Amino acid sequence: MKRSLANWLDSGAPWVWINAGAVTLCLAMVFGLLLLLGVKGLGHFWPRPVMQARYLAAEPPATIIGEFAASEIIDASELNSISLAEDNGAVERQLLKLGNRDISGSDFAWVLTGLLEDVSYPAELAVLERREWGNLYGYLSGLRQAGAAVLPAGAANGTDESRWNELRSRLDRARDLRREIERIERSIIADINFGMERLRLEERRLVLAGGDSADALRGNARQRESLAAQYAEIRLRLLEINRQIQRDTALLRIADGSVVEIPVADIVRAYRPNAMGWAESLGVYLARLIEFLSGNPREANTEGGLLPALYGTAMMVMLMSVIVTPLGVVAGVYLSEYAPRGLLTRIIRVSVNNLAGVPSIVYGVFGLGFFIYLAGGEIDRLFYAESLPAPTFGTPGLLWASLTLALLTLPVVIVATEEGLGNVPASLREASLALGATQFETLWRVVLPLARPSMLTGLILAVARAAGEVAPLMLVGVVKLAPSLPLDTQFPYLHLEQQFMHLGYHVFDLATQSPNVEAAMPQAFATAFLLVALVTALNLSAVLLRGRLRERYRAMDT
Amino acid sequence: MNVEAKRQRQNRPAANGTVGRRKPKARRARRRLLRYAARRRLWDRAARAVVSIGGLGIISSILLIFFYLVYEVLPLFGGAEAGDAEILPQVVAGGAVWLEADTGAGVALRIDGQGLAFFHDLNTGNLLDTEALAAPSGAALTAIVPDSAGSGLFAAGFDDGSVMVAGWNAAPGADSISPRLEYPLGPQPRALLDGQAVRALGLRGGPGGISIAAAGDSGPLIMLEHTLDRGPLGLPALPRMGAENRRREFTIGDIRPEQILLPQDPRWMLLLTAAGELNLVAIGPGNRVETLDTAALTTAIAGLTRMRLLAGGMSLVAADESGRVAQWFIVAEGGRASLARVREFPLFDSAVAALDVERSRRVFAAVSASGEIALVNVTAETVSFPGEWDGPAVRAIALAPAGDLLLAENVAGGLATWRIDNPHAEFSPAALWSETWYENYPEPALVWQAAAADDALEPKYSLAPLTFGTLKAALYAMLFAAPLAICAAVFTGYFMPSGARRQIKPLIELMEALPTVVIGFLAGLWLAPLVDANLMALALGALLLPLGVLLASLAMARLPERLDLEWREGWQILALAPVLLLAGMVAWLLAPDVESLLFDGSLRDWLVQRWGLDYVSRNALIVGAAMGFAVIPAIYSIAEDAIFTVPRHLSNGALAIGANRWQTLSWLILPAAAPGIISALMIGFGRAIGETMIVLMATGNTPIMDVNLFEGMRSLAANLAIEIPESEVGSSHYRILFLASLMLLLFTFVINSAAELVRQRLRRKYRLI
Repeated sequence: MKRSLANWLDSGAPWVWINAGAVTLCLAMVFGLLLLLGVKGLGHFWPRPVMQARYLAAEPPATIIGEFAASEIIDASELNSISLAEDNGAVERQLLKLGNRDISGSDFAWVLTGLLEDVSYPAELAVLERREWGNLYGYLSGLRQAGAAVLPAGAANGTDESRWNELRSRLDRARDLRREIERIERSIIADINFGMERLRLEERRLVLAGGDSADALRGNARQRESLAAQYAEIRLRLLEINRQIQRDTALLRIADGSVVEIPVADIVRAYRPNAMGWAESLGVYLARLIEFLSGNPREANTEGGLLPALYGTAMMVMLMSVIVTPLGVVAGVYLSEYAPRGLLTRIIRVSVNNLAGVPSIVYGVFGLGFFIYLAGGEIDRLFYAESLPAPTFGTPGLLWASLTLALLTLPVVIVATEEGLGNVPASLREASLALGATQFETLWRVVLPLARPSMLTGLILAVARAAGEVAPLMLVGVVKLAPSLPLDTQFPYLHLEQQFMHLGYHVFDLATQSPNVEAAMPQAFATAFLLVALVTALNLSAVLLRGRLRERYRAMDT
Repeated sequence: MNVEAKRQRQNRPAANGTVGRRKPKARRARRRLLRYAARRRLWDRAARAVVSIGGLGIISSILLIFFYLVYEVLPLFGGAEAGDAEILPQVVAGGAVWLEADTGAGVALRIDGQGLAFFHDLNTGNLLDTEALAAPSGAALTAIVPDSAGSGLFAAGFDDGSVMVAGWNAAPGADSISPRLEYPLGPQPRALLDGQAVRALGLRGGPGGISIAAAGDSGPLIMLEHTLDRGPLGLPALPRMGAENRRREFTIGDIRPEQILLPQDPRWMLLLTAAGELNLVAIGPGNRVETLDTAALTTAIAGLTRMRLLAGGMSLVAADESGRVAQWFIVAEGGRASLARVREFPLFDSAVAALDVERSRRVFAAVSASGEIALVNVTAETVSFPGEWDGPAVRAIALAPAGDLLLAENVAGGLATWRIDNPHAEFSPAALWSETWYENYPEPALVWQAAAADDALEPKYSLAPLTFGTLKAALYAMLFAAPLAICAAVFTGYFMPSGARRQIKPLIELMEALPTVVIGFLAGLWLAPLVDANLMALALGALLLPLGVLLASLAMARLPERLDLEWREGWQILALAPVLLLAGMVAWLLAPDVESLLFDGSLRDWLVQRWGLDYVSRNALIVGAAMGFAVIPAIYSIAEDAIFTVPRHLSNGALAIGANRWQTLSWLILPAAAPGIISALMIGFGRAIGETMIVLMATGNTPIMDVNLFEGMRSLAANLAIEIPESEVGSSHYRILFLASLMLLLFTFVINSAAELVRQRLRRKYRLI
């Protein structure tokens, strides 16, 4: 035994195994992280059963209704609950989402598992997702139209099923009306506001320019009156729809036995999780997933969707690509094809390479100081004097964020381009030159087309980096909630000066700035998962592309 | 495309045509060909020019970052500068006992011994207006003191024992400014001392209230406290009707103050006696006072000449006959307050004749009896001598509130001004790195505390705690990442067959793509609470995981002989997955028992009690793990390349002469790849230094200096993200933050360049073999 142990040590096997362990651990961390994000991020949308129980720690014992959110084992001594004084050691407690924030104040509560009694999952329990105040849990007990009960009073206000059918049709109606309101607000009212703002700026410009402008000012006043009249008309129409949409209300009996009445228009979604089969659950799941991807955020970003963040990220990344691609390619071509071979070029090459390793926050600081305060301030003074002191380009915005990230990712594109040009087999280049083509013709017709995929790889890597980068963006343009999208139907359509939302910053905001951490966590996980999925997909495609490219060159060279 | 085909096309009709016309046609074709060639050459040259200029332009624009940061930082090191003395043409009559200069309004205020206020134009010296202080009739001015809070008010005391508070305001008129005296407590003087001349006077003004203290040659010290409604935007407001108006009498025994200073902290007052002794007096509830400390401000030979509270009202400067100015403040340590002489500025060879302080920064100006002028940034300890005024002795000086102008009046009634450029008074290169004694601190310290909107708080710009935090986070990250990444690199680079390697390597490199905000989020909100609750299991896991691997190895060493399995090399990583899982489970299950057995039930409490290690939830352990996770791929990727590129024939040679694979690795491959591995570590370190989001989200961001694994930190990068959006453009704070980012840039640039150099050398070496 002793002998073999010594042998085993001499052979170095334990060290090899330790090294193997490191690989396993690294892989476990990667997959563990992806799995964690996937489960927590995607699982959040699945409708969970809602529990009803009597909680004995309350005085007197009260009925509670809620969704299970988390559980943990803690030491009883950490609790200062008297009812547990005799019970020492570990106890389990669980975090329940009780909802009803407007009624009870907080929508999450820790309860001790041991003190829950009569735990049941009644099929009639309803979950109402609301536009404000989060979820409402309870039993649907009736519906009212303009204050009068809808269903016949007999048979105890109808069966649960008939009530739900009624509710569904009324939900559809409310949804249609709400769409109409949104359409009016988004297009017509926005147009009017935009017109008003334009008139105000024009007047200010006229005043700044001095001279005789009485005619122009009169014309402006007429336009303003007509806009105001339009607005008054639209406002009446909106008031009318708003009155209609408030017609229906739903009655819900909540955990403490009282009945609350909420307008149907405030309900985003209603379902009975305990009564649903997996197909129905899947329906709710998909609906919530679609809302997440295509809806606007609600409740301080803790609910609803992240369309503006997706949209902002995409806009920023696209704008950045438009800037970085030509610049990176030209610089890469210069370094690879035209720069004189010498020490200086080598130093430049290494410097450019190293710039990719400079902390991103430094680029953010540069962007803030140089682009926003220096360049933006100058642009404002020259072209937007009429809206000063409110800055137009002198504040963080989409353009500056894109420029900063373009600068940040420029080294990536340059290096990729250079690498791609360098990898084009010399034989092809020589053949072209031997046929009498000039250097530029060789470059344009032979080398660049071959190097195109590797430039694309560089661009994809740049996009992946830009999509995941947050630190510089915090200084040069992202906000937690942007009132409007940077691309819309108002002239000049693309609002380069506007601040925007970003997926990565969304995660940061939900994780650290949210007033209601428990409510924000699922949304943060979902957003993080989306971001990771996006960036990973981009990176994987770059890796695959690069692999295929390498094969092609190898085939060409032989 | 080929020219040949073109020529053929052109030639074809010629072949069918007459022979005689063929010659000019050929010439034409030839000319066309030449033109075509010239055009191609032109294109080639144009392309070369465009790409070269564009390329160089783009590259230099990236390098612009560096120059721009330097450009923003440089003004910090400019120091204070002053223009030449401008002697105003007007000579004024009557010596001023009170002098003020306001560059915003362009007005200077002088008050003479009779209580007459003269407003002068700052540029010409012309008298704009004269106004008498609303003094009681027949009373003479005996004392006039500034407000310790820097609101611009002053208090005047008269020989009949009455006291008044006044200020002035320049209402912009139609074409000229008309300055007027204003009385925030009403124009009526307050009779404070019954018929006794006011000998010493103190004033503390502010948005919330005004306190006046006065003492005569005998009797108690009287203090009057007015509570004011907070004015809009924090401006001093007029007292509310029936405002609280408290009069307190303090019996101060045999202390006969010459000067009373009311510091911002209402618990204390400072009394200076004729003998030059400063008494720190604690004001208790009611009328109780207690002398806590007495200090001689200066030696008997070098008599005291001037004393003022600095901006913020927490520390004072005292000037004496020997030309020295010393800073004092109250130090509260262990519940006991005392006076500390903090720093001293030996400014002149002759006595300090006049002294004035700036209102919102800790800056003062002093003039010697022989006319030398000194400007001192107190906290930064920088002294500059902007000029000298020869001729009659200077009687009084005034620093403009914004610190951009100094006004002096000499005994002959001459006035002179100096334009001062001192934008970064609170910054000194030395204070960035060395310990500085800040107001109310018991001892010199390294502190980062950027000024808030409140002037009362001294801004403290030491980059040391931030640099410390950065290095701490990076080092703990490296402790976590380096062993894992290098071991993994050794295994994939040397032991793994190339097929498996091609699959595994991109997977680990995928970690690099994960946005750091996600890692920071998981670290701060998922890992931190998890570690909080399972610290013991984690510690046990760190022990059991390698143990489990070794056990597995031992088991496998005995197994194959019997089972004779044809394992592929590199399969270990799969076999180890369940082992790691098992070890983790065992650690988790054993944790509660081990914890109660060895550490009295709680490892965290044990750490606190036994080792005095404080535990905060978002600590260096979390940051180390999270940031380690983020830098593993960088280290792994480069180290693996270095190991993999060591030529195979070296290893084959070693194996051929009987070394086993481990021996080959440790004696041959690793030494050969060492430069590459070191360069990998350097790059990983550079990455960890500049990482922002993880540190921002996974720590509490408190700028403390403590190596404790269970305490947080604030890094340079995180500090930038937190503070730069709120800092005022062009301020010292803003520029110091730029300095911090320049440091980050330079550090990462240098370390990356060094790593690159090492790597290139390595590459060249193997090309030769």
